[in-house]
Amino acid sequence: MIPQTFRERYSSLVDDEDAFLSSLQRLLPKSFRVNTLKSSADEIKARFAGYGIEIRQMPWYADAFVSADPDIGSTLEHFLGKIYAQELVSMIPPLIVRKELEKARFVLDGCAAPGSKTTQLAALMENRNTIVANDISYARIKALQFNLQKAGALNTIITNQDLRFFPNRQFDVILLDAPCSSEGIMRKNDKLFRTWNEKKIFGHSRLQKQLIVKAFDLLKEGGVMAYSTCTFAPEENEEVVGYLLSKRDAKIEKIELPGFKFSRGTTEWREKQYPSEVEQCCRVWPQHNDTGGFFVARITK
Amino acid sequence: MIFEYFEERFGIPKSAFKDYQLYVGVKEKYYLGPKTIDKPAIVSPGLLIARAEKQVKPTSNFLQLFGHLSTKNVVELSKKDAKQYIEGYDLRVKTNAEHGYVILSYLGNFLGCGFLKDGLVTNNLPKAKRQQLKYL
Repeated sequence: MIPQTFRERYSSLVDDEDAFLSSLQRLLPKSFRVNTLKSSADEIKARFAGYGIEIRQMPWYADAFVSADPDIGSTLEHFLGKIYAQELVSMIPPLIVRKELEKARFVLDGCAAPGSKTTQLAALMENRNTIVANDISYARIKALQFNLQKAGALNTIITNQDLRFFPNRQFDVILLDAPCSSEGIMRKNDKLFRTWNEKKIFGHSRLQKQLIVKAFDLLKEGGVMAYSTCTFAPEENEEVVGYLLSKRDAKIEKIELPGFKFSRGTTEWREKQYPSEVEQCCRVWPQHNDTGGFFVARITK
Repeated sequence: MIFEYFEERFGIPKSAFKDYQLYVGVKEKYYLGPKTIDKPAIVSPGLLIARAEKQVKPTSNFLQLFGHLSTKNVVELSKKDAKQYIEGYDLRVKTNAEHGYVILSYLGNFLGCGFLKDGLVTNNLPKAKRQQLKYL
C-alpha cells in the first residue's frame, strides 16, 4: 500500500502520476550485468540460448540484460561470477564516468557495499590501476568482499571508514552512491512503504550534504565524480548537489544515455529553488524504463 | 613461493601475475592486488589467492580466474559430477592428475579446487559458494 503522503508528495514532480504509482506496485524484472572480467555478452547470449532462457539486451549498455526467468541465479554462469545480478539503474553511475575510467589511476567508491558498482568499475577498468572500495559498515563489507572475490576483481582494495573522516587522498574518479531513503527500490521491497516517512528524508539529506562535500574534496583537479541515490526526494538529490555548488567550485555536467529515457533534475521543490545547473542531472522514474527509481549527477572539478 | 607453487603444480606461469602485487595477510593468507596501495586501514588488499598455514591451498576464486592458464593437474568432470561438485559433494574420479590439489573443470569452465588422493576428490569449494544449479 502506497502511503497517501507519498502520493501527494510526488504528484507535482512526476510526469505521469498514474503510470508512476502503478509501476511502483509491479515487481521489478530480474536484471543482470555480464562480468567482462570473466565472460562476454556474446558468450552469455549463446549459453542462455542453449538453456532456453530468454534474455533481453539493453540498447543503452551492451552488458546489461533483463530476463523474465526467476532462475538466472541457478545458472553455471552465475555460480562462476560470469554474470552479476544487478539493478539496471545501479549500472548508470559507472557508465557516466566510463571514459575517465580508461585513464584513471586511483578510483574511490565511497559507499561501496555490497559491491555491484565496484565490480562494474573493476570490469570497466579491465582490472587495471587501483580502486579503493570503502564502506562504513563492517557487516556490509563481508558481502562486498564476497562479491569482489567472486567477480575476480584484482585491482580493488577494501577499506572500512566513515567517508566523512576518510584520510586525505586524491582520486581521479569517485563514485558516491549515498545512503538514502531508498524510495526507488520499493518495487523490490514493498515493506519499505510501511516504514517510509519524511523525517528519514531530512535525516539522509543532512548526511548526504556532508558526504558530497568530503567526496569532492577527495577529488583531483580535473577529476570526475558521480553522485547518486535510489530515491525520488529532491532533498536528497538536487538539494544535495545544490549544496555542494554553494560550498565548492564544482561543475555539473550534462548526462547523456542514448536509448534510456529519463527526466532532468528539478530546480523547484515546494518553497525551495535550486540552482539551474541541477537540470543537468538525471532523474529516473520507474515507469520510463521499467526499472527502479534513481538519481545521478556528474560533477567535475 | 606462492607463484612458484602455482607454476609447478598447475603450470600457471609467473608472468600471469606481473601487473599485480602479492600481499600476505594474517593466517598466511595470500592476496593478489594492485601495485599501488597505501594507508587507509585496509580490510582486504585484493583477491585472496591461497592459504598456506600448513600447505599451500589455492582458493576456488583464484582458480576460476586463472585456471585457463593451467597445463596440468586439471580434472575434467562430466555434467553430473560438475553438478555434484558445485553442490558440495566429494567425487570419485578417473584421472592422471597427481596426488594433491587439483582444478576441477567442466566444458572449459574452471569450477574450483579439490584435493585428490587415491581417485577421490575431496571438495574444497567454500560452503558459501555451494548451490544447486538448475542450468549447466
